[in-house]
Amino acid sequence: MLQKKIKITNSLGLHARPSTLIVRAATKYRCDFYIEKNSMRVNGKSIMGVMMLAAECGSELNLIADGIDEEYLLEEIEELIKSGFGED
Amino acid sequence: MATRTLSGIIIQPGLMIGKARKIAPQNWIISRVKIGKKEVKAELESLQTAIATAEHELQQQLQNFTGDDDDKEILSSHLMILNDPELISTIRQQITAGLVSAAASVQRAFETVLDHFSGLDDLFFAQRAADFRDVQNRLLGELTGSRAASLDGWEPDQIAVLEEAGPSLVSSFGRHEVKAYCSEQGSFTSHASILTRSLKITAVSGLSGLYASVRDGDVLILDGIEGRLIIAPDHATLKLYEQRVQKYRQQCEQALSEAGLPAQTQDGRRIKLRLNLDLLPELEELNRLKADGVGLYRTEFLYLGKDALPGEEHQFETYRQIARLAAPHSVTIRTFDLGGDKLSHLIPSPHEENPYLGNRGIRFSLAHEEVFRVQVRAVLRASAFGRLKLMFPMVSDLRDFLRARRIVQSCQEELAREGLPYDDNIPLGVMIEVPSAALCADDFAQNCDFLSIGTNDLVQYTLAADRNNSELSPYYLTHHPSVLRLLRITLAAGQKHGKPVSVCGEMASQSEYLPLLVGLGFSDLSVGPSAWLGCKSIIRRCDARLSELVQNADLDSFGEIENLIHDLLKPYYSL
Repeated sequence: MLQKKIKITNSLGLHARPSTLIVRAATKYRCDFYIEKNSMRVNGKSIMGVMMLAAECGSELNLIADGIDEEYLLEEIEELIKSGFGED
Repeated sequence: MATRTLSGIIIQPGLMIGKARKIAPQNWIISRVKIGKKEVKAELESLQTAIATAEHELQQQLQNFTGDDDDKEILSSHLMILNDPELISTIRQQITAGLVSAAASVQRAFETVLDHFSGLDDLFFAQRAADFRDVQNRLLGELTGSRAASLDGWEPDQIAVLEEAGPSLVSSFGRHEVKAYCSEQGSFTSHASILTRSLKITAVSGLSGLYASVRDGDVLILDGIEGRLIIAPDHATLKLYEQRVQKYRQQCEQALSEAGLPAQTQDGRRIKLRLNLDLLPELEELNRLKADGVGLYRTEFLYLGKDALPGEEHQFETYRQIARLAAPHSVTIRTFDLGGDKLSHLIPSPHEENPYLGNRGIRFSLAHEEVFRVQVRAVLRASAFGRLKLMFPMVSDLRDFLRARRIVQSCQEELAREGLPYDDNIPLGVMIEVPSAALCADDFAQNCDFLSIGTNDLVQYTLAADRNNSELSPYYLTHHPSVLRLLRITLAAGQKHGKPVSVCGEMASQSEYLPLLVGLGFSDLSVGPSAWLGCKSIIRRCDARLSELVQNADLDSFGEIENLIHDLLKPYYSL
């Protein structure tokens, strides 16, 4: 299992489009993927889950991946979040 | 039936007279909730079939979608909701372990999500509830056998009347050539509204009491210029609007044919025509219209309806995006223009008898310096990424501007110490919207980098007439000699000190006043997106004779001003 802490930096936060991008990216991998914000934990392959986090700009997230391709998944998701989802 | 007029917000501008056709919201009758163990398998199968059918329909809508490619994303996110592993496993578990029918399980699972979204304060998230509601409707439609409202046999002169527009309904409007709709609920930034603009469907939302007030076949005037709906208009109103529709069509054609041409008068004066904006998504209009930048960016939206004041990072990101998207043009950011009455849930403020003459605009910012500094720092940091100007509202005394400027300088020093980049020469200006500021415009022009006249407040403060009180409208006179005198004083002060003076109030976007402003010598105007193209058309008709007419008129005489606007200048704004 791998974990990674990351901060949301795009100004609108994880609204619909970024959530879609995260889920679409995560679904390509076989490992389990969870996202934690404060005490809330959701399935990172579920659009419902990711949007329910309502992560605004500046929120700290903990990404948790568990499975055979966990490091690749984390790498891609991290890059996606750091790029601001191409919104800037 | 008596005529009724409802006011709302413009989602996509336009003007249409038509007949009401109500589109009923889908109501599900879930006849069976509890199921026996033997029925579990059948219910799971009907769930599977419902998902597959809904998926197929969505795929087809995606293929036939005629709007922007980016907006297709909205429909494809619906596909993702339909295939959500958590959601589906929750529903399946309800069926198998809870012995609940497929329809009731779908209903419960979605309601949990929807409850969660509606409890969020952030507008962006709460609005996404509509996407989930849309998918829920599709699934329940399949499972209960009640189909979505039919648009078959849609007549071109019909106007759809809704409680709330969902994204899938709006996208089916595109296929059925529905030209206009009005709805009781809705907001400018919802997915449904984005699709509406993409498909260029005229729409006004937020019309409270709409659905109950309208019957099928009622004559409607959907006025997407003023943001209102007139139900069952009388003969005279109808005739008036028939002319307006005609005129509006001609103006649109004219404006469209001139879309690529500059805002230049017949005698070669290039007028800077900028945009007034409130929201980040509206910035797309800037490039579409090829406007000369943003003359007024209102920041109140960042604060309104929030649980906490937006922090520096959040504001910085927003302003940085604006600066980047608008480049190479400039954006004038107005610091927030609210009083204690709107913010008492965030900042304890004593009750004010008269908020319009109270602690608002720059006064409020100076009284809460810690809040003001956060905004100033955010704007300064963003100024490194484009061309930003900073403007203070509700300034009545030069000392307010000087204090604000000192705070800006102190924030600049702070950023320099922290090694953060900013524009050292960011222009600082004031709104001229209080008569005292207009009368002392010379002092302001000496000290500020630019002045911008906010006509709405200037008119109401000069004539002591509340602009929201319709009984006072005979007193709220934009073209009153006192107002024109203040405009001329301000413009002359700017010219004397070589400082730009713009007009960003509604006066600039009202066609009958625009030629007057051009004739007075204003050459920097800022108007809302829906008025922009029309304003450019009018500017392109202005000529040297117009300036002569205005200069020869006695602008201290109300009669002469009326004559000037309604008679002599009419050829310039009326087609």
